[in-house]
Amino acid sequence: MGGRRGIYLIALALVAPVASGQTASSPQPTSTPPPVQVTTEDKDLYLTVYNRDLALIEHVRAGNLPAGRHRIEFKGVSARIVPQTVSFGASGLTLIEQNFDYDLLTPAKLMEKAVGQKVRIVRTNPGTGAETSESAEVLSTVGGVVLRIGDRIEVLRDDGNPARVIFDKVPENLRASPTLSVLADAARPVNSDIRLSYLSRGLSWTADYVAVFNEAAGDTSLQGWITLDNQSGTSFANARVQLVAGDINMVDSVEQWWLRFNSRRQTNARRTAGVERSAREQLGDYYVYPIDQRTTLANNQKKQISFLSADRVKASKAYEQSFYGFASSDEPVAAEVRVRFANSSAAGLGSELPSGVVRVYARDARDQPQFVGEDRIDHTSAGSELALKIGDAFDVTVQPTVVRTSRVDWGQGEYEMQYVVRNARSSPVTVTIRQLGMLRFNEVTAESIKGRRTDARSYAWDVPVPANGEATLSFTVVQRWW
Amino acid sequence: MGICSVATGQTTVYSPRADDISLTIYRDGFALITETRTVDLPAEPVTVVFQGVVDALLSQSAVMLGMERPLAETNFAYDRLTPLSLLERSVGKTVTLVRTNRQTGVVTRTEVTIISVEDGVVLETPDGSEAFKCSGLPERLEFNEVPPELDADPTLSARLAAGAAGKRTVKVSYLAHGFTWSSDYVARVDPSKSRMDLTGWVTLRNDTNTSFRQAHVQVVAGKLHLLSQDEGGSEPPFDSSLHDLDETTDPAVNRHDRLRAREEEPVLDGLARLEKCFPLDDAKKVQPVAPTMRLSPSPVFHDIPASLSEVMVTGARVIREELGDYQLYRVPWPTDLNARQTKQAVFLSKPRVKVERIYSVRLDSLEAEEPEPADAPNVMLRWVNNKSSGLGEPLPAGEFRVFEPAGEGVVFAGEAHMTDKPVGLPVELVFARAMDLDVEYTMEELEPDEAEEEASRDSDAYDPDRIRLRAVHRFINNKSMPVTIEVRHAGGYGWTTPEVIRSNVRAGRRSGEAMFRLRVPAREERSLRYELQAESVYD
Repeated sequence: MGGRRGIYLIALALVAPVASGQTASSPQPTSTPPPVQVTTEDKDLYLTVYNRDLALIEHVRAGNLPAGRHRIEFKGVSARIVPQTVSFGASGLTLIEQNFDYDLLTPAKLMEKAVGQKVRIVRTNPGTGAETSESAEVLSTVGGVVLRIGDRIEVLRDDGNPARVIFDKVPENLRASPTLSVLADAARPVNSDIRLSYLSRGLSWTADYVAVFNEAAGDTSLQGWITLDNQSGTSFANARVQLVAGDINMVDSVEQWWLRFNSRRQTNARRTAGVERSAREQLGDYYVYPIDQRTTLANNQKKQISFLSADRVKASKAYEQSFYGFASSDEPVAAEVRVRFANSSAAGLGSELPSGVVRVYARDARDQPQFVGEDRIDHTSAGSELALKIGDAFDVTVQPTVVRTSRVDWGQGEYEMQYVVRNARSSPVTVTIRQLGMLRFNEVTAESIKGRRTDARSYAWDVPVPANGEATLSFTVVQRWW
Repeated sequence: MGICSVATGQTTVYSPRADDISLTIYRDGFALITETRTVDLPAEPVTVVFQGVVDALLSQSAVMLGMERPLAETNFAYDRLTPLSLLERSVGKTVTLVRTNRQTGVVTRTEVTIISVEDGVVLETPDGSEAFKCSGLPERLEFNEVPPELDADPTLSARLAAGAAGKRTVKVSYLAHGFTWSSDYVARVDPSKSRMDLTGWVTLRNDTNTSFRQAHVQVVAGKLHLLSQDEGGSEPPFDSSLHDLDETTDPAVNRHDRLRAREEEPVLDGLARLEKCFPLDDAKKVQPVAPTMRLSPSPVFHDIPASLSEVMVTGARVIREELGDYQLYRVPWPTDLNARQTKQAVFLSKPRVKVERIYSVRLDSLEAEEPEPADAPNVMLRWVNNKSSGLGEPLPAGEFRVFEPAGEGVVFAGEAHMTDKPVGLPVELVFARAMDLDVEYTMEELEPDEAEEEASRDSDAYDPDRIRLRAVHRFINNKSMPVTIEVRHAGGYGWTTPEVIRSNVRAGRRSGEAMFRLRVPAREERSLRYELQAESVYD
């Protein structure tokens, strides 16, 4: 797995053709298999990783081929390759046939490939334990293995007795490592790079943030990490990685997406010709984040790469609670705690933040950061405001009471609401109480604190509460059913 | 955005163990582990490897403080030794295939090479290629060693850019699943029924395979906003054994079985995959395989004897402090928390807290129908969590168990789940249903007042749908002590707040509802009479 680490180059390790002596000449008649070239080392490797379980992989391998027809085997491609999306490019090489005939080497595949071939059957006599060995031809493997032994036809282990099956050799296209093979003609000797690109499953990335919030100082630090996850079955060494943020879940198959991706790539290329555009915009609705330096991503590895480190980003804390409709509760409800900060350079930040989970920490009495909650942010461009919900305040509660419900007129009810906000903290707090379901025909006719309409269906009041004390918000709403 | 990663192949510095470890346990089934480690950094770019971190760590939560150097990459590597990983990591290696002839007992040992471990295992034997475990013969593989990557402790590593050389004290922290805590309360109500002695226990549990020696342990009481793991968050997958600490009082065997089942599943999946063979007739597929022929899974399971999962009860008092908007309770001295151990400590002890023990009834309909006979009054403890009641301490959510004097001794009177109760909050806990307190509810709908009817007929105003109810409730106290009963009557949805027209007990209000309070002396009965009037809000 780590064998290729740190090595850049290397080319086609030429495996001498097994049978024929006439290696490099004009295209071979089909009866003679073409010589097999095996390439294992990437000269360059590009990974474009999408958020969820998808990557575009491009291997650049040194080509060094005499003229003639060749079967080129690319070892070390992703085991989760989507073979329909393979594309192959090299100057001077004409593609005849492109096969991803990579089959995992399994007992079942081994038997399947042995159809028409001879295997050896070694049986153990269940009575005496004596072994007998016979040569057999595999006739079929569908729903059971049918064998021809001498002039008899029988089914493998039909009697339930032990029988070893010995295969002479492992067939060429059954491999323990993922391999892609192409059949190509070289009109003249080739001495240039071969590019192989395809889509693969099994790779994904996420962004994670760590914020250490300092309430007293009114700021937070923010560190960002990219987690690259490689479950592709293959390790990638010294890859140039770029990350694409964007949701491709709307398409139902990778193939469809690939078609769209290709057409988009073409249209974008045209646009670029006319108007100057930055590289980042070329993917249209997607955001592309290149990783500055090469990285090695082993199979089954989760790797984290730092991409953001900001200190003293201005931040503040806010309490709020929303209530739908008018109801009393004997049980006070804890207020939600939010940490707000602006993604702006004025506030100490101001970079594009990919969507991800922010874990918020606060320091305890011994100055040790403790985890206090997490929230997800969407892709956030510079200049946006963020409000992270981190949890419920232990010491700040709101208790709603319907003081009185009365009838104003036909189809008009009046609700007198009271929200008692209690604060057991040693500092004063302001709690935003949001009344939801306040449609157009709900009218606030009296209020103890001036409120505001926050949107078409909600109203909000900011209630200041003294330290270790309580405050009451009262308001009256007339609700019409028309 | 500039994402920086440094090229590989530089100096590596190892940190074999933590100098100090701190464990902050949350109620949601995870802990924040903070390790203090000392590393000596060279000036050039370096990879620091922290060995022996907790295997259940969430790598995306790892934070390293105090490096004083830019961090380029972090990495968490851990491969658990399982029958499957052992095979997978042995591809290309030479192992011994051992076959036993069932009839003669002759054991054949052959050197073979594992060439593929996918859906089934393919071996290269001196005779050719063969599939492992497809012949029906008893066969097993013997390995010479555990591949080194499976033998290793879980490690967390960090790649640092070049910077100042020297010793650093680094704090490495990360979240790990498999920990939980809860609080439990024991309230002893005194014979006067107006005071209680309140004791609070914190029970913490380490359900991981890692033991912590001399760790600083604290617990956080707070409801954190967490996202599920599907959303990239830290929330542990739901696991009833972690959420139900009451289980610890059950025989440890049950929990042990559950834990086994939890671990067994993925491993067996792997093994089943490896036993795939050539297509055989369905009848042959179920060919019996002697259990001894299987790769023995037993060594990888944690066969913890029940006695090791003991509950440790310590007399330790814990210290409380505020952590942002939560409460943090600290065990004041370093303590051991072993793998699969449950530990308890007292965090609260308040004698003679002023309480009120009342019986409560709430009616929420104006329809003249009798409440179900099963609706016996609730028995409730009520107090205010403040200093003048003799309390005034934050009370984290937990099970609240009430003990009351009875005759010579004490009885368990009932329990209730209490939510977080900050200081200053009124608390009401229903812990039982009344016994020996019989109630007869009578409610009848009255005809609308004649005069009123007339008035409304004369006016042009729309006559609202109005209801008038007369209630007579009889309370028969068969107890040898007086009881206090609170009756609340709400109008229900769509009705205006009921107006009390008349009552034989002074009407009060609670949560916007009509409320009556009466005291019934021992072995006597009292009646509550009132009339309510309400109108439909919108008709």
